[in-house]
Amino acid sequence: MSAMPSSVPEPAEARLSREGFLRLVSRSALWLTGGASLVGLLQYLGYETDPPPQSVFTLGTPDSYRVGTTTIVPGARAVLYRQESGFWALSLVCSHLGCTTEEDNAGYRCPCHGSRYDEKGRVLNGPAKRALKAVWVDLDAGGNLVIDISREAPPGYRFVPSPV
Amino acid sequence: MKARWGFGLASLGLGLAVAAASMREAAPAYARYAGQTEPVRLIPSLTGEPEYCLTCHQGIEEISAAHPVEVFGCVRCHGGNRISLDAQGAHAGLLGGGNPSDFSAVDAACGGTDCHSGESTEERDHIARSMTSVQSTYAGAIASVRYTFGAQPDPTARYGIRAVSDPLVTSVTGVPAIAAFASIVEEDPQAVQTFAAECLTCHLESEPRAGSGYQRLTGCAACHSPSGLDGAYVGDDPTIQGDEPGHASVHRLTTAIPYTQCDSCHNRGNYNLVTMTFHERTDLPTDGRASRIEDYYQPIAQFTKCEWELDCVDCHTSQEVMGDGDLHSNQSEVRYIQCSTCHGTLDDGPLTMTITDPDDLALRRAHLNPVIDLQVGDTVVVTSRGEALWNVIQQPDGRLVMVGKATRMNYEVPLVKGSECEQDPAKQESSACHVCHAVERP
Repeated sequence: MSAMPSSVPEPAEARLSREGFLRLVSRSALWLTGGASLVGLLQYLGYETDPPPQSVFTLGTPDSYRVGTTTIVPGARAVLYRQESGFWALSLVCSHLGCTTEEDNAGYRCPCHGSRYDEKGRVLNGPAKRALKAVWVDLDAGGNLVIDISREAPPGYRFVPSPV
Repeated sequence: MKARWGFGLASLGLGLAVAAASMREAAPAYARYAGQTEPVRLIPSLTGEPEYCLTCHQGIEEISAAHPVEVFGCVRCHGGNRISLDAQGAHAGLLGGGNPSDFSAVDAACGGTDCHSGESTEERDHIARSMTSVQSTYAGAIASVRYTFGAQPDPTARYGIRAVSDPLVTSVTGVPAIAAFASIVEEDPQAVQTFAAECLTCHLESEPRAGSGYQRLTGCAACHSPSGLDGAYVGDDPTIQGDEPGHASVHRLTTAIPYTQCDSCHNRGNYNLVTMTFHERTDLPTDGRASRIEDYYQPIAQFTKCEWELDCVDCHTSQEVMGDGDLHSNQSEVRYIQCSTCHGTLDDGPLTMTITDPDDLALRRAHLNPVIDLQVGDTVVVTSRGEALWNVIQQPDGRLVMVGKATRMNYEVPLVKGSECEQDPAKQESSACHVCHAVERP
């Protein structure tokens, strides 16, 4: 007959030792930190910068504008002219502080400070001191008129579409 | 063993910090203002640089039609950190605190040749004019009080709230420089020191006295951003506490300044002329419900109907109020509007001018406060110094009509010439007109 043990020891895995608890907490915190850092890194790498403001605007085919017409292009803050001599465009951005000018009897008027320009963009009264900027007009590959408000056109510039 | 515990606790702390940061990221501080969790970006066309101020300040009123937010944004005038989403970080470097027109910041915030300074003519250099004006320097009151109490031998200005010099004196009464009053005041008689202690809140660089009725901002906004009696903000910016004093009523600049704004300094009380202590008015109801005629002038004052029906800015011109560019020893040296400016005398009608220059300042001012559609070819009243009263316009039939700058009300201007007035043409001070035309206070 064999002797019976006076007490039955608990299985080791049934009770978390102090060392095991600390190891669990440490590793959990490290995993959590690592995971959060990884999320942050992925967010950083995936960040899309804001696109630059649109400067080129497509305005349809040249023959959709009759000779003698004036067309405000609100999104571009510009006006497109078609005359016998060709197409040309003016930025409607006031040369004083950048408000958008509006049509009036003589041409354009700035609603912010009252500067006025004639229809060719020349200053009629201040506070603006410089004329409205003429901007580039061209055709894109699809045969549509485009204006590029970031490109200043030289004085007297006219765009004449080539006959098809 | 201790090292293990320390490592464990440090790890736990790190984990908690990461969790807190994640929660903060999920619900940023700015979200409490308007509920949005995406920052609001604005790229003003004037600067072309993104700014995020409207993330918290969405709903704030546009400051004026001349400063549309899509053109100016916020940072051009207010300064601060345009990309910070943290209130403390975003407000670091704000110009003039919340008020960029404070004279400590106005040059940087509002100046520039395309803006409010640096013009070739003094009448258009508004910042320089304002900063040398008697309302800014308080040199007139200081000189008068010091002279009265024997601290200086004549009433010519020597001191102002701060030292100022004017390299270009254009008027007969202008002085080239004044020193800071604080540098001398301790050597002055007691009454002057009392004046310095109690009465130096009535200039554009000073915070106003505490209490109802005194509320205004400093600098240009003291006049151009009107406050209510209690200085509470009643606009739609969710970040501004509505019940705290010290604010303009709304975020707005205006040249249509109501008389109530002038009253926040003027007609608030009197000095004891022996001790120079200040005595607040006690004749007004404390609930702010004073009638206009009660509110406008102190009981001792005489005034005509037009002096309390109109707003101060309807008659008093920019040069009178904001200065003519020179340092002066007394407000009377720049205050020159008289009854005859509009009403003429028995011998002559008022001076008028037909606008011929499309750059005339009168047109600019009418544009900023379009109570009338002023055009080249219109005829308006001008002062003896040639400054246009652009809101007093001659009608096709010759009548003169004044349009209230704040009320937009029309008033026909009666002329003395051809009337039954028995004035002595040599006596044109208002006191002479008050003899017959003063109205009774109810």
